[in-house]
Amino acid sequence: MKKSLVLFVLIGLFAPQYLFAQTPRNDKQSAQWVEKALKELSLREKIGQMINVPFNTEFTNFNSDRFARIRWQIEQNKVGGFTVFRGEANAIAALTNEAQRLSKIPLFFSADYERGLRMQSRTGTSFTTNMGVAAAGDPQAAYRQGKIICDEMRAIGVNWLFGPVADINNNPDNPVINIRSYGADPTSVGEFVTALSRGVKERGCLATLKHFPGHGDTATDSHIGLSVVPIDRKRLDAVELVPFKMAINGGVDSVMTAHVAVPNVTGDNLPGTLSPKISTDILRGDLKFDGIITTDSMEMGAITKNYPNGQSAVMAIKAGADVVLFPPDPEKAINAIEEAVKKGEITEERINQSVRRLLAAKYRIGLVQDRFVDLSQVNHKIEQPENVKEANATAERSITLLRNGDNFFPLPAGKADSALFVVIAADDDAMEGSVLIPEIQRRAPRAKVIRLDPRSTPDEYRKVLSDAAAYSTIVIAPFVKRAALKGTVALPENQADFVKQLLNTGKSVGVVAFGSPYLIRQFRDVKTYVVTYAIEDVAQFAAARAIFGEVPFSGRLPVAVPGLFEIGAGVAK
Amino acid sequence: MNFYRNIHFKFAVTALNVALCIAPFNFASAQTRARRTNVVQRHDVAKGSAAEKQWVESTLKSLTLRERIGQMIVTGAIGEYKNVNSDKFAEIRKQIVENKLGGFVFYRGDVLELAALTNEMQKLSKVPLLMAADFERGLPMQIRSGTSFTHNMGIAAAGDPQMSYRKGRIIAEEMRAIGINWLYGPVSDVANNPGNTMVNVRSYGEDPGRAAEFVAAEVRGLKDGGVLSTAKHFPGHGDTPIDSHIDMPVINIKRDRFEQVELAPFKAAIAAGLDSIMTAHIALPEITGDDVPASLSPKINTDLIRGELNFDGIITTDSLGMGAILKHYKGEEGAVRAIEAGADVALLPPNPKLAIDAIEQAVVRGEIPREQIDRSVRRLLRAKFRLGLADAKNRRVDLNRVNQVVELQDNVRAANEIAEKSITLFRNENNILPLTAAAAKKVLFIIAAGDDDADQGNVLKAAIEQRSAGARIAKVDRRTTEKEYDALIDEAKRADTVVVAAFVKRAALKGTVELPQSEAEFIRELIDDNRNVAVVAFGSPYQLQQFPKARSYMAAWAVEDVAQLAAARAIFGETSIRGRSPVSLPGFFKIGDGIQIARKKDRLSDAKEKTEIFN
Repeated sequence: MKKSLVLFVLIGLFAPQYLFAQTPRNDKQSAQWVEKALKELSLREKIGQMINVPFNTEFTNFNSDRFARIRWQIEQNKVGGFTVFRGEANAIAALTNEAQRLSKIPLFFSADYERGLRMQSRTGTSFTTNMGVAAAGDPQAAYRQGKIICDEMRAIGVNWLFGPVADINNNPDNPVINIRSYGADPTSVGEFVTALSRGVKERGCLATLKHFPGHGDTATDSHIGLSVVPIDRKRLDAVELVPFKMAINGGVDSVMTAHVAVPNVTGDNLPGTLSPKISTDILRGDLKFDGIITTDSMEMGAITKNYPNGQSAVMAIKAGADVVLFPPDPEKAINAIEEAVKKGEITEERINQSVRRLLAAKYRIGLVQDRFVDLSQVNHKIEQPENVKEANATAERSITLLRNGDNFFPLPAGKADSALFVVIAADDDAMEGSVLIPEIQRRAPRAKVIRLDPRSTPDEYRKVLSDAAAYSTIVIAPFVKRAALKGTVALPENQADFVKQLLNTGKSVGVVAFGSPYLIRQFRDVKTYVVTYAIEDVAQFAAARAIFGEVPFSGRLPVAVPGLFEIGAGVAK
Repeated sequence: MNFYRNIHFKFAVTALNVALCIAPFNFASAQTRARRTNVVQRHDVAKGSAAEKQWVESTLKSLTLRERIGQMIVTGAIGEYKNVNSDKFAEIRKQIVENKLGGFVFYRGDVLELAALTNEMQKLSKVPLLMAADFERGLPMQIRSGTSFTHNMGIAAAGDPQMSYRKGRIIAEEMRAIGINWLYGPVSDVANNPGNTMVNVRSYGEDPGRAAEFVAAEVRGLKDGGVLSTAKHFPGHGDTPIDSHIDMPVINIKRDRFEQVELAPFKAAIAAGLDSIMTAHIALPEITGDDVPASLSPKINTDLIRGELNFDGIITTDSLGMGAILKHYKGEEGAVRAIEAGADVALLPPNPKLAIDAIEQAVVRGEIPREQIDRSVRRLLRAKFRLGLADAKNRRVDLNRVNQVVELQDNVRAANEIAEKSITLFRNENNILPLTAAAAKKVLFIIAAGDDDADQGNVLKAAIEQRSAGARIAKVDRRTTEKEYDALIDEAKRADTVVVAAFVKRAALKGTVELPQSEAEFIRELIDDNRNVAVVAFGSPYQLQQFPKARSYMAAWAVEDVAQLAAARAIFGETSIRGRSPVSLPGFFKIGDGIQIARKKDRLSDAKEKTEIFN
């Protein structure tokens, strides 16, 4: 205990140094440290550096069984990094500090904070989704967002962003990317991706382009099974690879490969994560990427269904990955890789190459100088009012009015007060509508607000339909969550039918879609249609402001809805 | 517990020096005393020590009248994360910097969030702040983490007052680790009315003498752990079906009964070194001769508590934002009347600034003597001194140590063991419980969730699944349809055994501790259709009244995780069933009832419990 106190005191003497410029002198210092550290690591420890495991960052006592498993990953498996899930800012900071204290080599802490900490943590600035940011139209906003996300990450000890999503969402039925993508136009997506990556890097975090070579054009969720995208190399170059190329030229630090097979490009059915053609030939060779290649989670169905534990880790490294993410059993993965090196299937030099990349990145972002955070500063850095304002402003600019029959929106106060609002939650999630409903009630205290969810009975739907007769204005707000393993982003059939029935009443009806913008395909005749691109709080606030006329509708659709809207559609109001 | 010693080491030395000259209070058992460290002696600083007097008087002198009144107001704070520059924190800052309040009571959040927040708040305050919370059954009563104990009634069923000592001490240590120093507990009400919707399982039971032992033990544990204790809800909220969050209960009992029953735990608490009493919004017309709520009654505060009981600790009201007060007193009248009556703290007045204004005016008009204000402020400052808060470095907690103190494995184990010992089997026809290994495979488990809480029963469900892979577990709640009920009734007819886990949460403003009618009716039907139906009651033990013919009936006393795990162990025979009821179930069972059954097999280790979703 004393030792740790002394350590903390010493650390206090050094200011954070991760912002230093990359001068030749620093390069030299970095190289010296990297070589020295590499020399001190056994083969097993080097392999450990290439493993990243999940870390549930809800509060836990340091002597708990749960933390003992983390300790074991650090002390026995000597893993190089963790990916944090859940928790809240203060709790995450305390846990990353303790984990760092236990590790010989400073640890990476990565996270899927694509739309900010709030994508995983209960606290942190909540941004809208990438598609929303693209709808707001300004890549500079993505750049500012990147800076804010990294600032908040570093305040809690997280230093590696698994983002931005660089996939082109050119398949409306894609159940896993959807609103996480900046849209369907390759160059525009590239601009946003590059801008966010630049912001993240400037503030001292690693950014990660994902999911290479592009997870956009598939209707399969790779959490469930292997996605096969039947495109050829020419198309890949012209579309999917564009944002990756742009951001790699912009100096991005890392690329995540996906469990997506492109047989017409590679000639085989290997997923990108395990394919030497994807990782080495295309990414390292053609795209000249010399940063960190990490796989997507090896726990995902696409891999576990087809490759036994251990084998997939060896294949990933042979393919060219520097980091194997979430091998189902890290110890077995390390054993298998070690075995492969001993058998000569993988050279130790190949391992050294990867470890050098990883160590150099740790040095570059300042972890060698100071791997700890100041717990008393968390409340001074997370959710700074200017950060929250920035996130809200972008979300407000994202709200896109695609149809506005009879000038339905914005709602005049009197009309809103006598309107019927129907929130339809497609998921069993209390968040859907939890902000929107009070925001409506605050502005239109006499309006009738009803919430339906997956457990609502046919009688309850019928009741709403009969109640609707008494209202001349009806606003419908369907919420559809995009989630791993869910396999769909459509409104359930009974709820879509219900929307159609409401439209058929002949009343004046406006639909405000939370989540996927493609929902309109389920009720094509709707006369008034707004998309908000996210189900989260930030989009609910922004939508309320727009529908009540407090902010203009200025968003432009960054994707096409086949047969209905082109890229760039949007009524300014 | 080395870590704890270290945190407070320097402070404790100071306190020790101060303590040398006077004989300390000492109610702890010899065994306890042996375990006591210098940490706890800050509490043993007897009244009037030179250092204490000096600090109290100099602090008092530095305060204006308005600031003194501010010390007597405690308002609420949400414990969830707040950026120091946010509007939410600005609101708190205003209460500290402008209104100069004496303390806060916290709701929600998580341990590190609270620790960081209380630190920022203490930094802003000239006089150290009292930080209170309703952590009656541990931190998880309000926040996300902390050692989760069963309710008091469960501890009483487990039967050993030493468990309450242990609980008090653990809660206190976890509280101090996150900057909370004043517990609004132990609940000292006697559970002598099965229709009570406010106290219920929060009480140590129906026997006043027995409840008194548990209350006193908890007070000692809290004291040794280093926080202020609060006996509530004076003069006893047990004998009424009315929830004072909703309206004011009137209890028509006479003085001798009051002395014998309601007062007993409070007296024991005072004798054990109690720090504070919380007065309730309850009228006792037969005793006071009027229908003024105790919280606002000079007869209760001044005559009874100060006079007859000779209590010189802190008197705080219950929340002045509760229905019982708001319905009958306008604006800040409640706060003024409470102080006039003799309270030291007006808790949660609707608007703290207006409350200070109103009290100040009452002082200026001569309705409240200045000396009375000063006496109250002295009491509060003395308590702050004894908590060690006079020393600036003790006001803030070490954020690096929260994860070393909260949810310590020993603490969690102690809480689990108490809950396991609490499980009480009232009836067990056909020896349905515990389930034999063979029977367990053919059981239909039904979780009947009485509350709109999507997670209700989830820990039990996971525990069953872990012990009986592929077990059939159905869940019903208030939204279950007739069709769904019918299908389950059919399925139950074919099952060998049906185990129903019925959950009824006691919650403020809920106004009932019964299972919803539709669910109770469904359970009655199950019992009529199948010979082997066991009902396990989570929460109120009085649920039996709703399905009196249950062949087997077991009480787990709490709806929370800790009780669910303990019940699972009992259901599967991993732990002996040893609980004895601390309340009577009128018409069915008397105090002390409980079938005793030895365990049938080894327990599943804590480490293997799959309460985590991943990792």
